[in-house]
Amino acid sequence: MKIAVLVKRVPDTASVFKVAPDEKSVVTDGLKYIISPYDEHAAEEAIKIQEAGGAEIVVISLGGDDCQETMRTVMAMGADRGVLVSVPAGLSIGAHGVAQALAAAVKREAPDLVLAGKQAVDDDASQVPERVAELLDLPHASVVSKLELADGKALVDREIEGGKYRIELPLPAVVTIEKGINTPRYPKLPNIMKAKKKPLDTVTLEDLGLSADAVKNQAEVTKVASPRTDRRNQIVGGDTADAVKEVVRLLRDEEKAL
Amino acid sequence: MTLGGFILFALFVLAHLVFVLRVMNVVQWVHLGQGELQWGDARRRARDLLVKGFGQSLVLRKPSGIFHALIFWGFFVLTVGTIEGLIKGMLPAFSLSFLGPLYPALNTLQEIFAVLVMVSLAAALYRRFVIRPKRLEGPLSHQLDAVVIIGLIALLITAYFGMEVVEPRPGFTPVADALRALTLGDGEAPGMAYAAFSWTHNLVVLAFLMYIPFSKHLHVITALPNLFFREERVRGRINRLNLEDENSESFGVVRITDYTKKELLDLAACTECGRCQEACPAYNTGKPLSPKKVVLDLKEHLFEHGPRIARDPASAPPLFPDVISADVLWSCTTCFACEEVCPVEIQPMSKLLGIRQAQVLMEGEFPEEAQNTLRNVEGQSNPWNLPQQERGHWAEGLGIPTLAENAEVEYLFFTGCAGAYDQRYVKVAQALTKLLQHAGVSFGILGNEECCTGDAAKRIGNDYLAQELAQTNVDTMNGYGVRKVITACPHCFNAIKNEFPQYGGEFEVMHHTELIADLIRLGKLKPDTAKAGTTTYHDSCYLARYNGVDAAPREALAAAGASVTEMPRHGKDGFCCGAGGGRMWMEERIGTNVNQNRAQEALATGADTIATACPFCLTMMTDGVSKEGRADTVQVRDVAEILADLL
Amino acid sequence: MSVLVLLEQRGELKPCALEAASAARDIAAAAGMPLNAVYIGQSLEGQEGKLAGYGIAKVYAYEHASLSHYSNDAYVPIVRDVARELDAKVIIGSATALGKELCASVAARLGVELAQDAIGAAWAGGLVAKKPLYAGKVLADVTIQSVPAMVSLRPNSVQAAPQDGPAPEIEKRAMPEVSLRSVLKETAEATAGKVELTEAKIVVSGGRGVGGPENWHIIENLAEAMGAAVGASRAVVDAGWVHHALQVGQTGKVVSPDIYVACGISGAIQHQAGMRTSKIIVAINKDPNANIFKLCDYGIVGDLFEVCPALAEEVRKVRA
Repeated sequence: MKIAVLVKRVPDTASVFKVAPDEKSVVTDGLKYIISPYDEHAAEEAIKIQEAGGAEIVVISLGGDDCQETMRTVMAMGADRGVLVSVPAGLSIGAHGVAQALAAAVKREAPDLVLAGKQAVDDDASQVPERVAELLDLPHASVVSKLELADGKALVDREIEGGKYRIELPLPAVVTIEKGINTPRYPKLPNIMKAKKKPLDTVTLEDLGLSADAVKNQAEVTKVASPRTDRRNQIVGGDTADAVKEVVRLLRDEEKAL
Repeated sequence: MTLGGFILFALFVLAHLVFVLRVMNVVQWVHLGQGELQWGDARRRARDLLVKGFGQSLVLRKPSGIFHALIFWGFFVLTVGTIEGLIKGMLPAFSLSFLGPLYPALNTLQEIFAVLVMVSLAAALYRRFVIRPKRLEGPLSHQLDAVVIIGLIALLITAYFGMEVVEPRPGFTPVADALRALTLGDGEAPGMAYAAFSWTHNLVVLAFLMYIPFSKHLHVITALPNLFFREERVRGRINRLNLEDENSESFGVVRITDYTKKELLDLAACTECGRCQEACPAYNTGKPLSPKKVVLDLKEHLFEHGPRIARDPASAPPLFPDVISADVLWSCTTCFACEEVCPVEIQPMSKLLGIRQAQVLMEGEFPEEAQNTLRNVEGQSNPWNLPQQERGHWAEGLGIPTLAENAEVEYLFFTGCAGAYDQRYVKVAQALTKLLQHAGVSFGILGNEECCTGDAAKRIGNDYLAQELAQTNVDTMNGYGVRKVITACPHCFNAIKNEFPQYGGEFEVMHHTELIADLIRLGKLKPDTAKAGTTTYHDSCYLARYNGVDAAPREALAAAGASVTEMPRHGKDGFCCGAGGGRMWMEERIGTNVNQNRAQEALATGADTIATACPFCLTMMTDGVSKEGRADTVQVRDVAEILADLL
Repeated sequence: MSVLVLLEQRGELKPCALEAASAARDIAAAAGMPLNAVYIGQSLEGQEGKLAGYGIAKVYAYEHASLSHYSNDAYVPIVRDVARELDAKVIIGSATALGKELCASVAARLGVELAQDAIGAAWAGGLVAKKPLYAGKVLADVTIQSVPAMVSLRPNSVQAAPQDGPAPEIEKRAMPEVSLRSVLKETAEATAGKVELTEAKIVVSGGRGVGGPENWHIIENLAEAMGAAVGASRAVVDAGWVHHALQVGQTGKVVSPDIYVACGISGAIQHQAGMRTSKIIVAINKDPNANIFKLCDYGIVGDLFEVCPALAEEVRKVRA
């Protein structure tokens, strides 16, 4: 059994995001970076499979050198080695390009199972793993809250609105992971130390047979804005009946949340 | 030598053989620990031995300690007679009379102490079986142990008086004389009487000798060495683990052999007095943790497995969870009361912290809520996962420079996570700001550059994270040339004062109550005392017990005109609020709540304000008062808030 | 040339299908292109009327019992082929759990970019989608250059606003031959009633102000009216009024619903840590100085024993 886990390094969403002066990006100063939480669940799931029946786990990521730190955290959890698709700083790659690069990296590994988070919490693009599956012509299932492996097949619970599908996929397959599936382990110090020495290969787009042009982003962010930074702190006055009416109106008509 | 003398000699040799072999075993098991027992700094060690050991100064901190001290001193005095009696048993002609005028004096002293020891034994029995303080509770075997010992000593003293009655030695011995008058009158003692008393005396002594090292009275042999070998340590510091050590495969305490020799000697030195248990907030609120039991369980484990481990060190079984269970391990609030009160300076809390380190660093297994908190601290450097970029927000508009803006200020006000983020405690940080500005103190903050000090991480057992946080702060502070620091949190205070020097951070740290008291003394703060009410002050463990700061907050409150009614447990004997040692970040699922126990004690003083000087205490006491349904009538406030209101 | 909208169904057309059609109509009009639709499902029969007023010229209906549930293997090639057949320039789907998977897969097959989970899309010489980034902390305009430009719209983010107009022509298509690799073994409805706390869109939480377990029904009643999950502060859990599973906060659950209603909760930081990422926070507390009012969007200073039942009633009224 060989499992590829796709992970992304993202800013911690607990941070404050400020619009940069160019109004096309956010200020990155002071941001702390973490592994995207859904990817961490995917990694945990891979390691549980490894513990249950043995598996080689390769963690694959795309980005700059700082991604290595993120990949090492997965290795500290138990992944055996890593492949970083290194991209030049400043190159803007869209989901289409990322998926091509990752698909090429995954193909070289020929895993039996590819796991990834259902989305990365920075751009919330929610599409790269599905694209990788399609590009490699692999069966796939998204937003999975339960995963069982048996007889060369994966049986998954796939969350949908108000219910779930139970789907059986032949391996190799790509599965994206939802949060409730497990609790990622707290990394052990000896494993953090060991992870520093585990093999981590870096490949370039050229190595994967891709030109910068082929992966060019065709969905540029042309403007960003902060929706609202502070709480409204609006005390709704009047007698109970009026206040209640007004709050319901605000929730329904202004916020469109009710 | 008579036949009797020969038999006694044989028994004498046997008893000593048993004694020495057992003691050698214990020494061997103690030596299964890491490192070496240290002899250096002999002057301090000798002083400890004299004052705390022979002087019984630690035992005498409790009134009941007088009985122990009398028995202890009596032991040495009576040993003279014991030796005389033993030798005389073997060589009937022997006497210490060659000591000349000293001999009657010694005999007089022996009689005095024989009486005092008898009284003390009676008191001990009365305490154990009539008063029955909880701290003396234990399994039947422990109670039997106590009865056997008390019985043996009583028998010994009885035999001593018997011998005195039948064959008086020179000296002023009114009790023996009276007993003689009472029993023999003018008549002669039966011929065998002296022999009977002498045999009883000598057999009891030898039985005692053999019994000691197998019982809780092992402490007779180990307690004094334990005081002697005590390592000097910085209170409130948990030594940083060497995480860089490539050869180290294990961090923290997994097996009994991971403790140091001194720590294992600790186990052998326990007297089972239970003072630690009596002071323990976990034990007092129905948790399965008793520091006494921790020590005794570890001792039992060491003595049981010691022989096997001595042959094969790798065979030492893990301590967790069979010897120390999760519920025991994670109930500790690290309040330090157990180590503070121990009369022989055993360190039960530190034993648990070593296991915590192993559980967190080696196993990654600890309460999930604490895991979340540590993840938050790793992420945004505060326990609530609030944005690091907003750490300085609390001070906006207050006119406090950041050190980036002005590094020339006299003090760094190290705000702490609570002061920066917890809206309740932001009020305290602001009240303190008002006081400092009023008094014209020059100070600044680090703002967004400040990090958590790592106190909770350290005490939960994640030394890795704690080291990183401490180093980051130290580097930032040194970068600005910081020398003097004020903190509004005893946990920050303790970390900066006691932990940071390990990372190259040498600062002069003051807790805010200390600075406030100073400013009042200097006349820079003149509180209007008219408005003050009745107050009780709840001591923070990390302030009062760890760092001895218990007078300053009281001085400040007194200057505010508050009449301070003390709770029964206060100052260095204060009772924890329940939040230390990372407990703030864990659920309290077993027994009653520590904070409620403490709130009840505070409310019983009848004060209308409970003053605190710590964000955790403030939260815990506020919650405790609410749980008691008294939130409407009793306020919980920080000393700084009370003072700031009176400007 | 065409704008293509993907009509999602679950037995019946889902409301989000009409929302997508509504947005697609406006884009088609701005781009000067016809609008067509794809329907994949068991049967569209009897639902054609719902599709009137969105300017859809033709619906390509792939109807078959085996298509009633989503399947990558079956759905993706259909959409890909229709898009190629029509020379689609814009494809609009729904950002539902299944819709996102479909859109991502189709985008991969067509080799184009996709703005997933957009809350709006408009034509400005090209397709510009508005979508949240960083857990909604930033809103971005994404301009898609690849063709066809694809976007999936988050349900409830645009209104389905039919205009006067005819129902579209329905062109029934035969189901193409596909070999299904993944097999749907079972479908399950989420258990009705209680909503899981961490996944709920609305959470109603009670604190010490509720007074006692005998009053807890007030919180439950409001939660039921709002279709919300019930949460609790630590004080309430500590006091044993409710189970620990309901605790929101530092040592309990971390929730981030669309609406969080805090009733009788003072707003200590330990609680804040569990709910501060909620989109809208409503606070009900009798103490005007309570911390919670500093954290909330809308606050009512009042007795929760009055306010909560009144609020429940008002919500029931407007929802009826």
